[in-house]
Amino acid sequence: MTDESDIARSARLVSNDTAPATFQERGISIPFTTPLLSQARLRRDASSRFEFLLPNFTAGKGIYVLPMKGLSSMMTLTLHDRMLFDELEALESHSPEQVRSAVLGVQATGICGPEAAAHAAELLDQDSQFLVLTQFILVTELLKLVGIGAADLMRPGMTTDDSKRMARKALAKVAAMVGIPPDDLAVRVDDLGALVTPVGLPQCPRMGRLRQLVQRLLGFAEQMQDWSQLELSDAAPLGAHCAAVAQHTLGLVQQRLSRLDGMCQDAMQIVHDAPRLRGEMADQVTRIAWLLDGWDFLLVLWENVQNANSAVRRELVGEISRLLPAIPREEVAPVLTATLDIETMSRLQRRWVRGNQDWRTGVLDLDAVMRLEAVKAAMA
Amino acid sequence: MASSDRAPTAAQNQGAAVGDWAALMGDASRLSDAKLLQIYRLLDQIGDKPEMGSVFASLRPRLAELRPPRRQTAPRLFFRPVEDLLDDQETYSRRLGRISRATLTPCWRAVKDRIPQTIQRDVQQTVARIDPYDGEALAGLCETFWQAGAEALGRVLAECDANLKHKVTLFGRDEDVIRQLEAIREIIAIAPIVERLKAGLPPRPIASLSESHLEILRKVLLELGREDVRQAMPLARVISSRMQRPGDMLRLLGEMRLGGAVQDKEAVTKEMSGYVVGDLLRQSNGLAPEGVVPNPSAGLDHMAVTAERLADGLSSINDMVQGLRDKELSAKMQTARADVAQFVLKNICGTVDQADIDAVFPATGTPSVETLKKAEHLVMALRRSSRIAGPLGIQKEVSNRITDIRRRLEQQTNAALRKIPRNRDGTLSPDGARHMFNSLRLMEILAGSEEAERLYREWSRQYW
Repeated sequence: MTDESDIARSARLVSNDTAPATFQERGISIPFTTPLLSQARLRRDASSRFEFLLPNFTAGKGIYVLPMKGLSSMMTLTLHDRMLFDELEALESHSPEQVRSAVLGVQATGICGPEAAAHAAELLDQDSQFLVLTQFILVTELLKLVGIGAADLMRPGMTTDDSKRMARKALAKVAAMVGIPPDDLAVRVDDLGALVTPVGLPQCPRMGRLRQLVQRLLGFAEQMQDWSQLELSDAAPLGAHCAAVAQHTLGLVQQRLSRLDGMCQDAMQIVHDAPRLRGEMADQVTRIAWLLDGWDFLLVLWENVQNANSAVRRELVGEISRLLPAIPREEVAPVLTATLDIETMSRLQRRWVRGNQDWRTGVLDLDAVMRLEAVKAAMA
Repeated sequence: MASSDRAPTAAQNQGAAVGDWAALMGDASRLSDAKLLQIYRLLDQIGDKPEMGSVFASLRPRLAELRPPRRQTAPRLFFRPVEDLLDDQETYSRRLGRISRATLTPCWRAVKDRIPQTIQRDVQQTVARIDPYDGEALAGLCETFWQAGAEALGRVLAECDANLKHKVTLFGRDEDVIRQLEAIREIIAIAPIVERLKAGLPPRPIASLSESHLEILRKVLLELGREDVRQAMPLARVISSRMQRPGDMLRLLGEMRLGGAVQDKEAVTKEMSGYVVGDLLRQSNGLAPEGVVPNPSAGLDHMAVTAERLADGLSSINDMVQGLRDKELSAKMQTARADVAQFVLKNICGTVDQADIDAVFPATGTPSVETLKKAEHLVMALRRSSRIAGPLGIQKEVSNRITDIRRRLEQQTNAALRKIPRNRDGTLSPDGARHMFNSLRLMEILAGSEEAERLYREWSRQYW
């Protein structure tokens, strides 16, 4: 078993006074189920080895940086987290989307409970359905260019083969207009569809997953603003700070969404300029995913206390304020105007956050594990 | 006409009706939440009649979880600050510093006409417009009402003290009732402080307090006990009753510099320790031997949570009680510990069966989510029991039970993984994988992550 000094010996306590320079420096939030690792951020160190950034578990100032190797000797990890480590290590590159797939894969095994497993399986299914829908929308947009609508493909009396044949012919015309072989067009449609699926096309009747997250974040920012205005305790500034960070994140996401939607408006252009636009679209989608990374967990926490009493909500605001995804300096200049100075915020957070229960012993608090699993079963 | 043939009297009718309700509520554990709330709303219209006391008592554990909105009647508002000290008539024990619910009706009857009707009407009308769980708002709105009520109760008690006949007419001859009334008066007198503090602390049972919570608590205790430590005790009793580890309150009081003579402080510490031990003893008495469970529908894990809470509470006051060198208190502690131990052995270890594990391995296909959840609750109850087994002195028994269940789980998993048809390429089928991970999940809860990982590696090597 371990104690705080064990962790402190193996970890570096770094200041969180300034925003990280890049998303990579901020790391990706991982929904671990070991309470001490909950929402730890994964990144690579200077030697490309994995390390974790942990919000200070004694609710003090700063962030602990722990090397991934040897983590299990410092604390008892859940089997879910051990399996997730294996999956993360096996990934070739680490973006929020790739990590999410790995997380859902482990979750779907049932190792963190039947409800979380069923939810993960449902999300994976929704993802694949949405990929098909996105690619379908892209195809219908292209067909419009040669005067064919979705209704034309589903005329009474037409068989599926008739529809496919008609679509293939029409797409060949589009390919000729763009000046590429028809097979290349199909590859481009598949590739661009997959690329944009996490956000979804603006023409799509259903919102993509990250667009839905934006809507929830918008609601959170408004509710948190209202809460902080009505709250009488000194947790109110923490609420105002959470609302400000959420608003700022939303502002940046909206800018990137507008740019992405602008690119996706003209189907002809995205297929024609695919080699050039692909990189730009990938950049927008990836940055939107990075900007929103870590928010889903916080939104579920907040949504879960809508009917709770004021003391519970106050405490949660303290907790959320510690876990807010910082906006890196590369993403925004000037950096977010601070609503609170770092000293005041740390002082207020210490007051409203109860330190983790199990850091003294390193023993797993199974009730806390199950609470985290319940949050996982509600995440998008 | 023979008397037995006569039409029943109104009283008999009422008695029969209450009997029917009581019989129905005896089955309350089998009612769905929606049905139970529907019945509760009907009963609530009738009001807090004495004859309905036992009916409400049977509903109370589930209502405490469901927390339906309650009609904010004047007596409910009046007694709200003392709700943490209330015991049902059947479980109330004297000399523990608690209050029997049976005392509330005569108490309200004695004070209601002495509190101006305008105040009562105003408070009920205003409270109906706010969130009933907003303690802070409630404290502000009811301040005058509680002040008038505490003064009225003070006058009633003074009159009883001066006039024995008056006392007997109002409350009977039992001196313990007068002690309970005095306790009610003390708390109602500081009701706004109590309610504001409750609103500022985590909901009950309070597992731990943050720095801000401790700061609020210290400040309020200091304000009340600056002159005399005794002034802070009613509040300390209320808050400790809401805490999972009431020993933390004793420790906090010990660290604070409250007013009064040294011998007073010692006496108060002893009194508070007595209250805390008594409260835990009362709760553990309620457990054994019949195993009265706050909510039977929640099953074994709920029982284990209750046992864990009591064991935690007992260990939190252990050092304090040892320090007092009070044989009677120490003996009470031992009794309480033995009661909890007996409860765990009989109702948890004695109830979990190997058949519960077998249910996770149906003859065909994979188990339902409900079956898995049930198995999770069972093994979680055993795990909780093992956590508290040491302090309760039942380590060996609990450990043996866990070993039995663990062995069964391992055997059944191996059998299932051998039996389930494999994929064409020889790898484990999706059903096989599901069985393996279900078992690993249960094993992790039961025996910890290290053991679960060992089996994960072993089964993956053997069957994957």
